[in-house]
Amino acid sequence: IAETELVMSSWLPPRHPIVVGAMKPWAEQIEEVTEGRVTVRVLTSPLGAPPAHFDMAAEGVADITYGLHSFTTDDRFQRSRIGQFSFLGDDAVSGSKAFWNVYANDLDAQAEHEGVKLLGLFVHGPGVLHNNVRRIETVDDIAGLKIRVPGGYIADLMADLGATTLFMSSGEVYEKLSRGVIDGVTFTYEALTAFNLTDDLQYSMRVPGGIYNTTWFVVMNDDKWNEISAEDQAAIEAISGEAFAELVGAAWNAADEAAIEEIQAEGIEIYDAPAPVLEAIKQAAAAYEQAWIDAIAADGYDGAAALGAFRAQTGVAY
Amino acid sequence: MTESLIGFAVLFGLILLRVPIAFAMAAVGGIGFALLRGWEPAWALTGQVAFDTTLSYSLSVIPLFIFMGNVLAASGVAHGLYAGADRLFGRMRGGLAMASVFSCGGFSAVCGSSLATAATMSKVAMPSMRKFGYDDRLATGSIAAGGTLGILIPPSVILIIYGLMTETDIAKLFIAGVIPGIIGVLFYLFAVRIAVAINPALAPEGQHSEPMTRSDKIGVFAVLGLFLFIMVGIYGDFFTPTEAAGMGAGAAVVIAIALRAMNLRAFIEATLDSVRATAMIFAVIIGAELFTKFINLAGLPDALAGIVLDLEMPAWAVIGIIILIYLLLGCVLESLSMILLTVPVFYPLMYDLPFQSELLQDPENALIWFAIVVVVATEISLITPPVGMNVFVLKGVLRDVSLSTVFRGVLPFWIADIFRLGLLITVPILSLWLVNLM
Amino acid sequence: MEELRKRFKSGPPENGGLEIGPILDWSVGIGAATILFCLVLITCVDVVGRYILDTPLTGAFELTEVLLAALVFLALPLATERREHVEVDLLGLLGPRWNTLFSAFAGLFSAALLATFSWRLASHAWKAAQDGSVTNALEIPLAPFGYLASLSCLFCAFIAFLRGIQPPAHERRAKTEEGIL
Ligand code: NA
Ligand code: NA
Repeated sequence: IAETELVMSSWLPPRHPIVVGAMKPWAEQIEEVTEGRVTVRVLTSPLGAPPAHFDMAAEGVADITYGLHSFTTDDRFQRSRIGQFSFLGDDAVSGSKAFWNVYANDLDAQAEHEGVKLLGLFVHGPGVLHNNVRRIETVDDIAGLKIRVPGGYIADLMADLGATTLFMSSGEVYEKLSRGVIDGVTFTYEALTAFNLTDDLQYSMRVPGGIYNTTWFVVMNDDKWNEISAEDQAAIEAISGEAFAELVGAAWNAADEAAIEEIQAEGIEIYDAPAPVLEAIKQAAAAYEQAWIDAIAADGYDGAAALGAFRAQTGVAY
Repeated sequence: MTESLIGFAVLFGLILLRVPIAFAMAAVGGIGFALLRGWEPAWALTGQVAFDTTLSYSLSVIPLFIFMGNVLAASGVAHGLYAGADRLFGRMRGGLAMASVFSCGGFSAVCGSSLATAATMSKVAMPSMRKFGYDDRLATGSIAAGGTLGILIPPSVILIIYGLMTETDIAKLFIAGVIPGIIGVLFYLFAVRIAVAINPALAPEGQHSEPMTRSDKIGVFAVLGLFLFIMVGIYGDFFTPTEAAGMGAGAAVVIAIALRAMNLRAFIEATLDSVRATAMIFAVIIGAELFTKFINLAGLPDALAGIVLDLEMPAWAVIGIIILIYLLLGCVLESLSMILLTVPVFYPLMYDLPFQSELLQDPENALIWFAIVVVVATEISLITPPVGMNVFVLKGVLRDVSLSTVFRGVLPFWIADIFRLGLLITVPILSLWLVNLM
Repeated sequence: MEELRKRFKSGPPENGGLEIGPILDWSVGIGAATILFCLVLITCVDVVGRYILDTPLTGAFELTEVLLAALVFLALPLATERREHVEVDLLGLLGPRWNTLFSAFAGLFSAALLATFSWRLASHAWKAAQDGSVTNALEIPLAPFGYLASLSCLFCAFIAFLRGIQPPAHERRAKTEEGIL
């Protein structure tokens, strides 16, 4: 008989690769490693809107939640933004592990996740710039393109490069793209197929380590965490953190690989950013990285070293 | 499972004590959640749900589609529809009742709500049916029933809400409603014919109808034009279904101004009616959100799916039970609360049921077909005693008619609806043909 | 629809509570109506703008979201005052005394619930203010909308409370005007 049943609120569709390939397997692992003393029930539908999921764990609406740090527009997760920059990782396993190692260890991620136990941190596969107007050869080709961006660093970067940036929920992208409201989108490969965008896109420009990324958390309600015995806590921690980063990264990678095949079959051209474009991205990116480094330096953190460590772990050279 | 059933029982108790449905759902949901997870989480959930629900881009279509219908109602185009339908059917016995049904179907094409359709058409069609000596039963029944078409023929606020709940493409849901809606009109026309054949006293001989005035013709063109504007806009990829609501409302205002059929006062009234209806609908949505979060936490959808799969029940039996539940709930509840309460429980089954029909084995098709079946089943609730909202609308307009008269009047249409429901369940292609053409 | 209302115009005393309908119409009613016009305008400008001028309206998405929240909560007192929330009148057949009793219960119950909502929304808004929650692109602060929602619910609670302690003497069948779907 389970001593503790944990309720996980999951807002991604039940068949999303992350839910199927990481959240549910991890929930089962928790039951295994605690020999059934702790079980996790993944709810079919979420207990709140996606952006509410961090607070939901803190307030105990659910026991375990996951979500994006960028859901909140306030400054709560300032140091997490290390995972949003360009040139961070070419696959989700190395990226997620580096993100966990650097953010959790060097940048004290737990301190920014106030009121919850931080169990997992991860990123998705490398972000790509997709559009249906032209193959981007120079920076001038970006000018005037209407690009949907998720907000944050990539929104600023695309605006710097001359694009008109638009915000909408990811579910709206299909309708807006097929009606010509937007010309393109910054997305992973996986999202391209998940949102049925292959018919409406033609060019996917790739940047070493991704043009952007998005950072995610997995957290547990503090009180619930403290209910669990020290032995079981240790068992859960052993399959969380870096191990979870590997699990979820592999799920993203598999989804990206399947998506790339489909994208290529649909005749979308995937190409590397030409040198002048890459140079412009590097310059703009450096300014944002510096601003972030300065901002967290005020709290006594070495952002430059953290970024260096991140890239050393993922092996991205640019 | 047990917790969920207790929750439903308490909910119905409160509803019987005349607590507004929205507040009853919110209270049972919130307290149920607190009992399962503690008060602090329940308090947090309450504020979060109440606020986040209203902060929604997709739900903005609700006030906009309602506003569109109300502006058109106030601008008098419904009279043109009725006069036009009268030209088609006027010469037959019961022709005015058939004209009512037909023009209800027409007005549904520019109005997202069933009650607004019934309220609008009753003001147009009732006076002439009374003048020509129609039995009150047939007269009121045809309008109360015809009004139910409002949520099946696009645009439809209910189908939008279903689409958001189940992540189904709204453009596809809209197009799926067209053929079942037309079938609804045809069945209702039949129902009138059969009713007057059985009891000729219900309606006088056919009359020579008055010629349509110029403004009547303009009204027909306005409705037809606006419907085409919305459909071409959505399916020609000019704007999204969400944007269609705003564009339709804008076009309705332009039409109303161009027709000069509406003064400022009527315009303000139409607007105030729309915002009040919006507040009322959101209250129901917020209440249902809280209630379904409790149900979800209590594990009802999972338990239900488990039972159905364990017993290896055939798909038709499961669908049959679900429809029976809808018809029973329909005695007391109206369509919006019913859909909000039950769809989250039932729709996951559409992924797992072993459908015989090859069409339905694709879960997306199954969800669209289920939407149409559920909407028709809940439409019936609007004319099912003892609590039938459309019947109450008619009763509100005609204070000298008794409720039982209207309920007896809708009986032929109620029977027609049951036949239509059976047809739509057994022949899924009727709902899916246009979808698969897209 | 207005004709429907006139038929019931024998009025708020029949429904219990105060004669504040016209005041509400001319205050929050006009506010909500204005927001509704804005919602129509935003969509039309956005759609027409992108075809004619090739420039979509940045932030139309977010403006629509916050305006919808404001519209709903401005209009809530109107619907509550007119008693337009859907209710089921089944036991009304039991007779006028029971009717009054049910009305009183429903009024007080609704008041308690709405007051709870008001409290929770205020607390939610306060938290949003502390966190500095703003919308993604236009950075519109969310807290004021939460406070608006809280005030609105408080006001509705007051209306429902008055109806509870002063239930209508002779209840008519529940008003069922247009609006429900
Ligand atoms: Na309609
Ligand atoms: Na009913």
